[in-house]
Amino acid sequence: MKLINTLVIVLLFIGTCNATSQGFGDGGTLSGNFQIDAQTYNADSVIGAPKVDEQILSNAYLNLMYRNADFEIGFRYENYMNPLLGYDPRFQGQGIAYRYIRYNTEMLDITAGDFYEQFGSGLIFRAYEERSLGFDNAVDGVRVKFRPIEGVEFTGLLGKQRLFWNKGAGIVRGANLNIDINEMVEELLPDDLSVRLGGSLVSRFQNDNDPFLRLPENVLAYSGRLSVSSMSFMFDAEYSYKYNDPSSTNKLNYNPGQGLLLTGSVFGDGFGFSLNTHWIDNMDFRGDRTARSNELLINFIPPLTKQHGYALSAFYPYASQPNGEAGLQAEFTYKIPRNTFLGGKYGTTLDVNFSLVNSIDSTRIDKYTYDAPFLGIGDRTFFRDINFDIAHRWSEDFKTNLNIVSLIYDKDVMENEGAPKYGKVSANIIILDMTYNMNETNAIRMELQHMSSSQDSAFFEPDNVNGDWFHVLFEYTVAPNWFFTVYDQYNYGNEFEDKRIHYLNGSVAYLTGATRIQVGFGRQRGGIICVGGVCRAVPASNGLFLSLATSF
Amino acid sequence: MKTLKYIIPALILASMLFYSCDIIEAPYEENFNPVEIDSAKKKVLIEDITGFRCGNCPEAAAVAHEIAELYPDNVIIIAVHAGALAVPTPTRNYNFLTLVGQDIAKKFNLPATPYGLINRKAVEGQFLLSPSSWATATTAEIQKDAGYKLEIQAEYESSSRTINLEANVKALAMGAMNHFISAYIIEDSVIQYQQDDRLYPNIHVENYVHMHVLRGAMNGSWGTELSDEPLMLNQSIKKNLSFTIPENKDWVPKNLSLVVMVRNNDTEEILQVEKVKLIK
Repeated sequence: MKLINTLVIVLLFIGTCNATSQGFGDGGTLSGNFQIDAQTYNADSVIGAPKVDEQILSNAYLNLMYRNADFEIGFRYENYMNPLLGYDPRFQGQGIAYRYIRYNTEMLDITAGDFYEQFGSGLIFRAYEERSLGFDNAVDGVRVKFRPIEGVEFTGLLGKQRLFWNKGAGIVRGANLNIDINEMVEELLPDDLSVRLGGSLVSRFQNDNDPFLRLPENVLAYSGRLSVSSMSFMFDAEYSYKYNDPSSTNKLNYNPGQGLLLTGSVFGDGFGFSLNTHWIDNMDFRGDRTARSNELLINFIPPLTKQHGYALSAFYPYASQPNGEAGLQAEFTYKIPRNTFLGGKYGTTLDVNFSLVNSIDSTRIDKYTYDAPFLGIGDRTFFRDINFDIAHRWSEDFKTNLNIVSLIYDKDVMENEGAPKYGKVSANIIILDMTYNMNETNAIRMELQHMSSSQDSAFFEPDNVNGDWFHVLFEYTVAPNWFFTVYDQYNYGNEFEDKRIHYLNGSVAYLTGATRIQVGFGRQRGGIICVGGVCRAVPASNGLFLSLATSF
Repeated sequence: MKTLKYIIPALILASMLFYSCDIIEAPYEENFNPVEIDSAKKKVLIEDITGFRCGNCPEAAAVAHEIAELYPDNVIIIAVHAGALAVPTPTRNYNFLTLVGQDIAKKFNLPATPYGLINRKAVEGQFLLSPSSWATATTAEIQKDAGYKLEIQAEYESSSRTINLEANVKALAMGAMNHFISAYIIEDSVIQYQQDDRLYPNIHVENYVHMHVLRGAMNGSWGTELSDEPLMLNQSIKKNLSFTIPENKDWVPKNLSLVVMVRNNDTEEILQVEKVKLIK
């Protein structure tokens, strides 16, 4: 019914737009995109792939937008019949998951319905969609953006967030002010210096009918930020404070929360260096105090770790710890110039990255409070990652990328909510990625990856994860449309002999215009996928997969 | 300035948000005394979905017991072993899984444990509730008037391992179509392994006392129709159910209890629930 209602409204809107009304042009534009990912599942006890009653599972999304002058209307239809393994089964079903009407002019931007929004870095507020995680915390309500003069933007929002096919229990309210000094007062600052200020307030209302605890019905958070940049440097600072917010995820403590982010970068001729640090205490903020896992998050902790793109370097990804973490990330990039010894004929790009995230210094006082001095650092290392990336082109037809990663991963904190079970994992990974252009249209790429890893604690139960791994991939491209890929991941160093398994997988992809179709078959290792520090577990699977994406 | 006209209300609106802030000072706990509930009020069923390898689950079980202490006589707890962490492994192979438990997990799309169902009533569209919302949901349910009065009697024939149940259902309000009666068998004091993360570093409890474990259903996972026609106000109906304990089950009859519920088969909501020990 809801689908039909929305379609009727869209069609009526298009139908009536020829009338001469303020702000309407000749006709509008209709655009959209569609994506479907489907997979078949064969039970495979060797890799731990469970039996799936439905045998075929799929996630599908259709976005449609109509824009005409200052008006925009759109919706997204989603279909999970049933959702792919690893996605929350409560997504099961179909319907309009997102719909909005928007009026956007130079001074005023009003949205009624669902919307995404971010204040500053997201530390205090971020509503976004990340399909690979099954993450969608869109706000359903009203948002007004107001730009009275150049360089000043004020945003107000009010609504409830999405929770599968319903809304979260809490009402979320927010206000944000962004000021760009350069645009506001043109002559105040030197030409190449840019200074931006911002401040936000976010609050959640949720009734307290708990018979045991006196819970705050209104939880308020505020933040302030400053950003200074020029041609050769950039500096960002953001501070956020959250009042008492006892919840499911912070053991019902009544402490306030605080977050401080400091980032600085310098860049020059062929080089760049950035230092990114943050200190976070009790900043898990949700639209329902009883929500858990990835449900109803209001804010986002910007990650301090590099998002690795290769299979083995992304094996142990970092999961943000909003309840308490202190960390830093230092990255140095240098382009060794052409025609030097190390640069070669085409130049070499060198990238060095160091990330370290620790716990914060926290001592429990009683059941509901603890003491965590501001900027205090604890002695538990959650994650440490040192990596080098060297990209070099050897000739017109041949280029390589060498990637070396050495990481320490606290598996108890990342995967077991801190409860001791696995201990820390140390892993060293080396990856060689080579691309050779055979002729104008054909190219072949090969990846050789190796990971040696060891884990602290004794192995309780055999798993498909521990030990050393080897990964080899071949990708053959026939420009402009065809991609053929085959890879094998081999857990040759597993502690348990019968778990030394090959994960063989092949796929074909076809690209044309704005459409991409990919079909593949084989075994997929169970693991974790994280985007920006927010994670989802992916169960092992064995079968055929199909993925189609197009935009129009 | 024209823009001043807009900026001032905007700033006022922003400052309004500063008032939306509650700061709670210690003590944080409410004054807690066990509450007497009128016998005509609804009894509440807490289905605590758990697993023997779920280290967070004993804490959820403690939450359920706390609620039962708050409303003695009106809260009934069942531990439903379901989900990935309830599946036996080669080293720990005692099987807590049941067909009923798996049907419950499938119907409510269980993603993980612990989660709970409070009278199988959806709160803001969600059936599965996290343990920190069980007290709130139970308090809301327990204040409602009961639509039915359930009086149950059970007897056990040890020679044939047969459980016989007699339920007298009286409608305290106008009945409706599609009301089902469902009887579950639960067992106390099942001594088996449980992972309990609260006891770090000794998280492996070999002799954990599992209470009110859901063992099976007497008449199918969702029960059978209460009556052909909806019951009229004050009308009573008698239902008899029988169940023979299969040969291979290690259930101890003196630890068994029966939980009988009248449920709305359209909305899933449990309208009334009652519990009785199999052997007094």
